[in-house]
Amino acid sequence: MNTKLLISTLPLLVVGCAAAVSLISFRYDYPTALRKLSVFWVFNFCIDLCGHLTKYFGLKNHWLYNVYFWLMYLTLAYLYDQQVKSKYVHAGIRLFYVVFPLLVLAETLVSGIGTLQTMMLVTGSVFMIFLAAAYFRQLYLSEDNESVTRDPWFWFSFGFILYFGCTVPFLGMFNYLWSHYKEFTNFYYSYFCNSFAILLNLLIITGFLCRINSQKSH
Amino acid sequence: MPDKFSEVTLILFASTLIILLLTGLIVVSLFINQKRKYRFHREKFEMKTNFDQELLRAHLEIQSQAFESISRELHDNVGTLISIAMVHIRSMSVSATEIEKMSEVDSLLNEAMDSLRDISRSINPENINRLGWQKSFMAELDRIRKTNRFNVHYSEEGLPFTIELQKQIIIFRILQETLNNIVKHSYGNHIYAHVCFLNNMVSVTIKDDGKGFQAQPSDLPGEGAGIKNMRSRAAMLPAVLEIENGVESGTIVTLSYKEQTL
Repeated sequence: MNTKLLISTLPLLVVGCAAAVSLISFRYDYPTALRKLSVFWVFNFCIDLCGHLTKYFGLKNHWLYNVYFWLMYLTLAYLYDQQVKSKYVHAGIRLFYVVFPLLVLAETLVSGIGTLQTMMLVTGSVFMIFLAAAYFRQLYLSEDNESVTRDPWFWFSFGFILYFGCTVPFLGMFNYLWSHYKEFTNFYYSYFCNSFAILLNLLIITGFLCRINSQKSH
Repeated sequence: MPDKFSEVTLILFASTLIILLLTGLIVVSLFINQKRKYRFHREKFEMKTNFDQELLRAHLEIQSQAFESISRELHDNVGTLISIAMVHIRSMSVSATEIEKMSEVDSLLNEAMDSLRDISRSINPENINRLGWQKSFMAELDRIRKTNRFNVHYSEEGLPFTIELQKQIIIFRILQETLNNIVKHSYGNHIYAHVCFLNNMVSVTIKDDGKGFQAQPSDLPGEGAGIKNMRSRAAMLPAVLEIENGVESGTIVTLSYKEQTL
């Protein structure tokens, strides 16, 4: 196996691990939101696997990632709606449910589904950063005495801020970079975006495992 | 073209670095805030514990002073009155038919005088200081034995050790309340008391064969004030107080106190 293939496959393996670990939420009777996230992460793994297979066979897979990101942003917004208690955030999520599909529709009509929809990626990623930051604010103001390290959503939010924050500048310029600096785009995607994806999935694994002792004792 | 490329890479790397730093800053501030929150909660808890202890200490001090004054009053005032009454009765000239009645009155007054003396001794904290908690406890058992309502069995093992005077009073008050509860509520016939000294630890077990104890968690309002006081006193020592139902009947109260060694 050459190094390039190994580097591109490593994130897929970590996503697979995260999806497998997330399934403990069914074994230890975790809250429903965590189970839903677990199902979504298994779906995430399947999409990523399809993405890798299409890439391996030399097929363009941007349409697949477009659909994947639509679903990801809407699912995460739905899950954060249950975690964040602020009514302003709830209102923001309602607005996102309306504006985001309209944006997706407009971008699909303008640039087609075969091109990576960077406007949608930037809007969705920025909104996810906002939701994760809102959850951090909630933790900051909370009177609860439990350690944040035992809160799965702390780890998930940490991962989402890191991943979306660090990939949004690149994904926003993706089409431009791809047409002008293909080699650099490949390099940045393989080393940086994949590293952040690995980091996100490691934090997802930590989030699912951080409560395992208390769940066992129940 | 190369200038534009370097601009693009600069924007990408700089924005990624800034976001990484910001995320780190947010997470670190969250941890610092939580540490502060922990410290605040701990301090609040310590303050509450200290306040409760001070309150209990003040309460016990007032109670101790009240006991002392009642004890003195019983001994000096009521005791003297009974003694005078006895002297008067003994000095009265009565007819042969009334002699029997008079001697009965005399023996009743004698009994009242003994009981009064016992009560006065048992509630006087100075007496506990003088005798020590163990002898005071035995005297208390003796007082109950004299009522003929209970058969009292006492046993001990191990070598007694010295306990701080203030703590001796607290231990005695817990045991005294236990005995009072047995006398008032148990409807039993036997009291078994066992004192065990082992490695700087004293364990006192008091059993009865009465109707038993309706166990309730200590924080429920249904629990009597007496038992609540016993628990607060035990917490003050600090000692472990266990109240449970006996195997067949009755109640078992165990007080375990470990003297702190330097």
